Amino acid sequence: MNPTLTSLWSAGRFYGQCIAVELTYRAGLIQVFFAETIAIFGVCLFWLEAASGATSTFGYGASTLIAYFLIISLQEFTLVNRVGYHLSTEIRMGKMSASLVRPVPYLLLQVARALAISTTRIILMVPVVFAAIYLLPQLIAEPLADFSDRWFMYVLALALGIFMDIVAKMCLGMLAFSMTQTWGPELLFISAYSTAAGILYPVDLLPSFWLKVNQLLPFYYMQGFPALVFCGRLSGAEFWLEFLQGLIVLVCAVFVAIFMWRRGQNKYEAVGI
Amino acid sequence: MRRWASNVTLSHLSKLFRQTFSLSLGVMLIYRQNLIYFLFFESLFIFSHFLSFSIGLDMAGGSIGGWSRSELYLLLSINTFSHLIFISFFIAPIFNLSDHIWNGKLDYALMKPLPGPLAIYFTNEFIVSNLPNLLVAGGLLIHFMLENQLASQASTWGLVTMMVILGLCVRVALATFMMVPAFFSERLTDGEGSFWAVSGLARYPTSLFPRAMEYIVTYIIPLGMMAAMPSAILLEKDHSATLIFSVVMSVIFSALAYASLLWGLRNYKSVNAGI
Repeated sequence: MNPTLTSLWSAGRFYGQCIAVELTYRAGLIQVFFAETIAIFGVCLFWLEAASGATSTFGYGASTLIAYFLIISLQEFTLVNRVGYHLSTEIRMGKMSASLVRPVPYLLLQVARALAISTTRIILMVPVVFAAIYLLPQLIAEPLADFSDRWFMYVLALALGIFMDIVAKMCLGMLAFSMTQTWGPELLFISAYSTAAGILYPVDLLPSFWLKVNQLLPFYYMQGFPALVFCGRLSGAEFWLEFLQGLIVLVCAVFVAIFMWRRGQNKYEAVGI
Repeated sequence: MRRWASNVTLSHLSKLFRQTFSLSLGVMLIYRQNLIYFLFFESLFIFSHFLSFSIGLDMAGGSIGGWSRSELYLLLSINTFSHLIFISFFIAPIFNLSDHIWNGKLDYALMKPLPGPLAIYFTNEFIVSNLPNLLVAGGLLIHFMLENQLASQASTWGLVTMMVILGLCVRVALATFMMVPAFFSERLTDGEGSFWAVSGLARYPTSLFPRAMEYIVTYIIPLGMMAAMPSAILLEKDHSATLIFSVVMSVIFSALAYASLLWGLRNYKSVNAGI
C-alpha cells in the first residue's frame, strides 16, 4: 500500500483513539465550558454597557456584540488542543524517541491528536450552539440574518484559525529542543494572544494601523478573523483578501515550523536509547 | 495514621515561609530567563486588559455604567495587584494539587508534622519570578489611587489593605473550591481553567451585571470583594452596609473553602494504599 496512504490511515486511527480518550474526560470539559460561559457573559455585559451609552458604536449593536463574544467563547473552547505542551513534554521526556521510529510521521500524529481534542470539544458544544440559537434567536437575529450566504466563509475562516493555532503552538513546543523549560515562551504567547486575538474586545475596533499590524500575526486569524466573518463584519472581496493574507501567514508559520523541526532533529539526542 | 503537630507556632510558620521562599529564589536564579519572560508576560497581560477597557471607554464616550476611565482603571489595578499576590504565593500549591493527588506526591507532603493544608502549601514553590510584576502592579495601584485623589488618608490605605487581603482570601477560596473535586475524580482535574474563567468576572464593576447576578457575586460567591467592592467603597459608589455584609460573606466563603479542602483530605486515600 502507498506509504502516504498508510500514514494517513494510521493517523486517522490515532485521531479516533484520541477522541475516545478525550470523551472519557467529558465531565471535566463540561465543567470548564460552563465556567468559560460565565466568563464570556461578564465580557458581553461590559461591552453591551459600552455600546448602550455610545454615540458611535462603529457598527456594533447589542446583537452583534453578543454574537461576537458568543462565537469567540465557542472558538476559544475549541482551540484548546495542548499540542505545544504535548510536543515539548515528549521532546524533553524522551518519549519522542519511540515515536520517531514508527512508520507514521511524528508531526502528523501530533496534528491528529490536536484535531481530536478540538473535535471532542466541538462535539460537546454542538448541542449548546443549537440551544443558544434556538433560545436566543431575537438576541442574535440581526448578525445571523444572512448567515446562510456566508456559512462557507465562516467554515474556511475557522479551519484557517484551527490550523494556524496548531502550527503556532507546535513551533512553541519545538522550542524544547533548545530550552529545558518552555514555560516562558508559552506564557509570552498566551499574553500576546490575549492582546491581539480579539478575545477581550472586538478586534476590528483597533486603530487601523495596529489592525494592519495585527493582520500580519497569527493571533488575528485564530479568533478575531472567524468571529468577524460569523458576525457579518467581513464578507465578499474583503473576506477573500484577508483569507489570502491569512493563508500567507499560515504558510510562513509552516516554514518556520519545518525549519525548527529540522534544526531540532539535528540537535536531538534521544533520551534512554 | 497522620499526626499533626499541635504546637505549630507563628515562628515555625515564619521559618517555613522563609525556607520555601529561599528555595524558590534559588530555583528562580537557575532559570533566570524566566524572570524576563514572566515580566513580559504579565506586563502584556495587564496591558491587554487595560487596552480592552480603553477601547470600550472610547466607544462609550468616556464612562461605562457610571464609572469613569480613571475609576475603572483603579478597579483593574486593584484586581491586578490581588491577582499577582495570588499567582506569586498561592498558584503552585493550589493548582498542583490534582497532579500531586494522582502521582503520589501528596503522600509525602502529608507525612510532614503539619496540618494538611499547611503541608500542601509548604511543599510547593513560590513563583518568585512574578515579584517584579507585583511591584509594577503596586505602582499602578498607587498611581490610580492618586489619580482618583484617594491617597491622602491613612484610613484609606488601611481600608485598601484590609479589602485586598479579603479579596485575596476569596480568590484562594474560589481556587480551592475548583480544585477539591480532584480528590474525588480523576476526570475533574481541570479546575484551573474553571478558576481563571470565573475569576475573570472580578475585573468588572458588579453594577454592570443584572440584579440577580450582582447579588450572587456580591453576597454568595463574593467575587466582587476581589476588586469591584473595594473600588466602589473607596470611590463612595456603594454603602458601608454592603461592605460589612460582603466582608461577612467573604469570611464565610473562605471558611467553607477551607472546610471543603479538609473534607477532601479526610477522604483522600493514599495512592500507595494497600502496597
